[in-house]
Amino acid sequence: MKKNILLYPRFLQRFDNYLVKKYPLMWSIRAHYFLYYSLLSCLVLSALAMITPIGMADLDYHSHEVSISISSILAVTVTCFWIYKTVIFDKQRQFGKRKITDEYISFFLSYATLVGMWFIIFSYAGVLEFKRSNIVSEKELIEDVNAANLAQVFMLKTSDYNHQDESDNTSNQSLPVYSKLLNTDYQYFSKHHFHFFEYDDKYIDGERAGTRSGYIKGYDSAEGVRAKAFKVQTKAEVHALLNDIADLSVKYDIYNLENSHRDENEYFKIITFDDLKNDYDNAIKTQSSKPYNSNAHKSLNNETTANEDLQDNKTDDFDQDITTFKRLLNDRLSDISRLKFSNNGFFGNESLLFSSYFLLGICILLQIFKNVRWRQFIVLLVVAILLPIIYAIFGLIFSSGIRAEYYVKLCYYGTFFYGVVHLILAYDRNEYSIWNIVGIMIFNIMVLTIPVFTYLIVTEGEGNYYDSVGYKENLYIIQLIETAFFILFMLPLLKRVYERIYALPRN
Amino acid sequence: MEEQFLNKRLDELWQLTQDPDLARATRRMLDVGTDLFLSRDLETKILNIRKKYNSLSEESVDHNPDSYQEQMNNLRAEIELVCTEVKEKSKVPAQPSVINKVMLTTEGLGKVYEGKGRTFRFEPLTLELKTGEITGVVGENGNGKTTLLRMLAGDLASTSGTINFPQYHTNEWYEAKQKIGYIPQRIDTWFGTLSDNLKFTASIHGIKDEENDYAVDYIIERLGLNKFRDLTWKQISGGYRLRFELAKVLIRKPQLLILDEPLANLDINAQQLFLQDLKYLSQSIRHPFAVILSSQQLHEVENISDNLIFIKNGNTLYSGARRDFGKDRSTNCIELNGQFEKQELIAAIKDMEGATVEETGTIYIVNFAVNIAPVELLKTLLSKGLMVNYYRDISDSTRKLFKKDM
Repeated sequence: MKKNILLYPRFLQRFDNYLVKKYPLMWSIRAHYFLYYSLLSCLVLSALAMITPIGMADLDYHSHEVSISISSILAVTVTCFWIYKTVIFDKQRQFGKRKITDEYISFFLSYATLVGMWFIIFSYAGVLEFKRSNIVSEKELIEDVNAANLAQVFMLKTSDYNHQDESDNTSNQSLPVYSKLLNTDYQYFSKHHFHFFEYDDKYIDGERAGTRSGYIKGYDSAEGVRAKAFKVQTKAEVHALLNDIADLSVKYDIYNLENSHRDENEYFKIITFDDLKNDYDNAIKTQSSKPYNSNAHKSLNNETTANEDLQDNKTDDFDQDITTFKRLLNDRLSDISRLKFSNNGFFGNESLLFSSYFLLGICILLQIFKNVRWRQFIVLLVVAILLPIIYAIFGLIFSSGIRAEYYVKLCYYGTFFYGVVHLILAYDRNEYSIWNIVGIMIFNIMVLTIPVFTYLIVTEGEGNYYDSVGYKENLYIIQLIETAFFILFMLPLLKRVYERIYALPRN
Repeated sequence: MEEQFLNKRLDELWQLTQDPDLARATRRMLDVGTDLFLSRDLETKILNIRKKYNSLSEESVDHNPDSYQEQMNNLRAEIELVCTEVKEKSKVPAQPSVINKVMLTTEGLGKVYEGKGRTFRFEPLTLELKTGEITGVVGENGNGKTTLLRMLAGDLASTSGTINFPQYHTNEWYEAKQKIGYIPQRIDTWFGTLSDNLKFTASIHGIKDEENDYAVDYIIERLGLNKFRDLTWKQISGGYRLRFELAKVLIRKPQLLILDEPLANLDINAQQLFLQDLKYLSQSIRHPFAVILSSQQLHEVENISDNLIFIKNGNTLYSGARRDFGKDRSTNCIELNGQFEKQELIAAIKDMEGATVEETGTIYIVNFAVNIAPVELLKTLLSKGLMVNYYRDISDSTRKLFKKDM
């Protein structure tokens, strides 16, 4: 049979032949072919990314979501093809001389292959990230951050997103800095403005502090970062500082998301360079600005003095603009720091963790697939699709009154596996009936709701589990119970896999 | 003894080369090659002869009959040459006596299916399977044949009794299954090409490197699957799928082969070829194996089987040597049909001692005293002017156990 030389190059055919005769298990996973295809795809996509023009407007990570989606489709297609070619083939292996360790090898090799295939997504995005992170040199960035340090002195106690009617203390002394930033030679500052953010302690009142202790932590950290910012001199310090800012930024984003009642149009309002320029011109016309340098340096060394000056020189017309300006600067700083020093976005720790779990999940499903029958696996997939819908409904019901996401998620996994195992066993015993299915669902609901109600009790209905007395002690007990349940649920499945591996007769 | 064995095999081969068609000769040559512990060079020579034959047989004889015949004659000469070489170089078979080793025994093996409104019991069975022997399992549908085979294959857990593998001194199914080849009634779909599957199967059962190449080539040529080598499941017929399954099982040299209704999808010629291959291969000196198969092709199975098991409603009515079945019978039994009515048949044989007639569809079953030779019935019918189309002596066949009154 004539094969395509690009898809089946000679060296790969020879290697394939070698593997099948020497290492059949490795051959059956077809890692060699699919890693080769992945490498080809990565090279093509990387080359595409290399020639893709990017500019300052592309600093925002989201500007490349479309291309990443296309890469994802390619990765998913290759994965599906791999599953078709590999896992299905392995389905009819007929009890070769396989050791228990072979199952682990098979699992990890499958995982490695999947990771390799999913790297297709990262290749395109990665090259783009690299290019974008190099638009601004590190030297420039250091200078910018230090310039921002100067600027932020003039913007103390003003960055309240929701309370613009409160004392948004801005001085016309800030105008020179504002002006400097706007007219800077650094291109990205002229388009995306810069601001070192902080939180207004007036905003963090007692009530909100009680329910948003995470925010308080964020505030504390912000203070720390701010303190560091004044001392930034070296590249390493810039790195450290920007990482801190990135961390804060995440907390800040979470906070913003939670306050979804805000006017999003207002929040996401983009102020262009021209807008700011006009604002500035207007401000110059209506107010007399003080010399920049002397006050700025003075403020840098004497924050209290600067604050007093700021308090004395309010400029209402300018407040709105400054607030928005600072917000945008926040975002830009976050973007730049992420691009430059941090692996956020697609490369963020959370994203990578999620991707790892996702691929691990696929691998687990594939291993289950190998050890159960076709129809059992289809049942499993149906359950996999149905259960999250039920969970989503429950999640929705409880999300407003309680924040126990992680534990609810744990329940999801537990109940999911329980449902799967139960249905597989029920299938084996020819026990499928409507009552059986209803029974499973009722049990799932119970398992799902018990921990949620437990939390409600623990938190005395407040839903504030962070600050509840004895929360941690109760948490450990609940975790123990849930782990026990989880193991209990998993046992039948493990037994099935064990039986399959050791070729035991079925009942 | 060893020399005697060698000469016997070579004589058989010599006889086969005198056939106009060299199909059997080249097949048996491969078997002989395996049995005689030849060098790899000589084995490859034999394999090449079979390859030549297979490629020749794929050509149309009508296309150029003279050339075809000439090439066949050349091949015949080549076989004779190789036979001479075999005689000179072959080593004596190491252990010709491995045939008839007990591979599997069961003691009181039983199974109970508890179902809604119906409970099926496969009554305890004690059984012994030996290498080189074929055991046929016969019986009506839904009576427990598949249950028995699945239990023996370790696919289904028994409710009672034990299964032992005396050769391995182990009761671990994982170990045992390495030596059991099981082809279920419904063959699972396989993926990829036939040769890839064979290579993988051989390799995963420990046949690696050059040995793997030879084993794959050998089994493909031996079972005549060469032209299907690069085909996939969808591209071959049901009969060849079964032959491929057999190849996949045989390549790993099993010591017990369990086949559930293997003849169901085969035409009559393919059935004969399949059973003949089974007989030859199971009696290999080097790799003999025990065979147990179920089938509804009663006569074909009886012809080839050394032992028979007849199951009815989960009860084993007969389990023993084929030749012993019906040895103690009280009546002879003939299955027939022809251009006459039942009443005419009864009238014609009314004078025969103990004669009775049963009608099963279009067939009549006539029983009469054991002291009357079966041929006498035929003589009687012809003398009475009855035209007989079909006549079979089932006195020593399990066919008579299918009768309604049993």
